Amino acid sequence: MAQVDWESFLDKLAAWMAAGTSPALVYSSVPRALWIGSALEADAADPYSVLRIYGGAVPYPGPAKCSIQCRTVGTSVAAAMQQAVKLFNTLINADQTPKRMTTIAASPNGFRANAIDPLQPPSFLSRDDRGRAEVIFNFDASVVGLP
Amino acid sequence: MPVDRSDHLAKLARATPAARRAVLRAVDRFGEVPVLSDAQAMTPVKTGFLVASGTTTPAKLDGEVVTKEAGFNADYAAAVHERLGNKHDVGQAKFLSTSLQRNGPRFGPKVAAEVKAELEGGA
Repeated sequence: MAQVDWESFLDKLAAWMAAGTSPALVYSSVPRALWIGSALEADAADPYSVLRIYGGAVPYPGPAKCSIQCRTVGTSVAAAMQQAVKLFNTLINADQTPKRMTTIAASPNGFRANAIDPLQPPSFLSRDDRGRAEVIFNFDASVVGLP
Repeated sequence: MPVDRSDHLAKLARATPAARRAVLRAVDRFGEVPVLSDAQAMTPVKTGFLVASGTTTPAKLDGEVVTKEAGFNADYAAAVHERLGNKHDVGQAKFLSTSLQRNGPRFGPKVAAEVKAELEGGA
C-alpha cells in the first residue's frame, strides 16, 4: 500500500481548499482563516477553520486513507457557517457529487485525491468555552503521492 | 427442452422472508454489540451520564432497506464526540464513529452468517 505523508498532504490540501474559495481564504499569512492541526488564536481570523486528522494516531508516513475534520470557529454563527460551506464546496462538484481523481498539488511532491467522501454537510455543533460558534464537517480522503 | 422451475421459484419465495428476518436480526444485534458496546468502551467518562446515555432503536425494515439507530442521548454528546482537541482521562473523541469504522468490515460477514444459518436451519 502506498504511504502518504499526511502532514504534507494536509498542508497542500489546505492551500488547495483556500484557493478554491471566493474570495480566497487566507492560509499563508496572518490573520489566517485556515489552519492545519490547531490554530494560534492570536494569529487567527474570525471566523477561522482547522483541518485535523482523526481516528487515532496517524503513523508517519501513513496509510493511503484518512479521516479529516474541518472545524470552523467564529463569533458569528452565520459567518462560521458561511466559511464552512465555502470550504465544503471545494470538495464537491457542481452537481453535488464528491470530487474524484483530483490533483491537490502537482508533482514534484504533490498529491492526488482519488476519492474525497464528505461524511456530512457543515453542521452547527455547539459553542466553545468562549461562547463562539463551532461548525464542523468530516470527510474521508483516499490519497496517492505524486513523485 | 423446457425446464420446470416452479419448485425452485417456490423455495426462493419462501426463503426471501426468512432472509429478511435474518438480516433484520443481524442488524439489530450488530448495532448493540459490537457497535454501541465498543463505542461505550471508548466514551469519555466524567460523571458517567454520557456513557449511560448510549442507546439504540430496534432495527426496522422499510421496503428493501434495513435501518437501525445507535447513539448517545446526552445533549452534549455531539460536542464531546466532535471536539478532537479535548483531553480525556478516560475515553476519546469520535467514540461512535471509531466503533463504526472498526466494526464495519465485520458487518457483511455477520449478516451473511445470520442469513445462512436462517436458511439452513429452515431448510
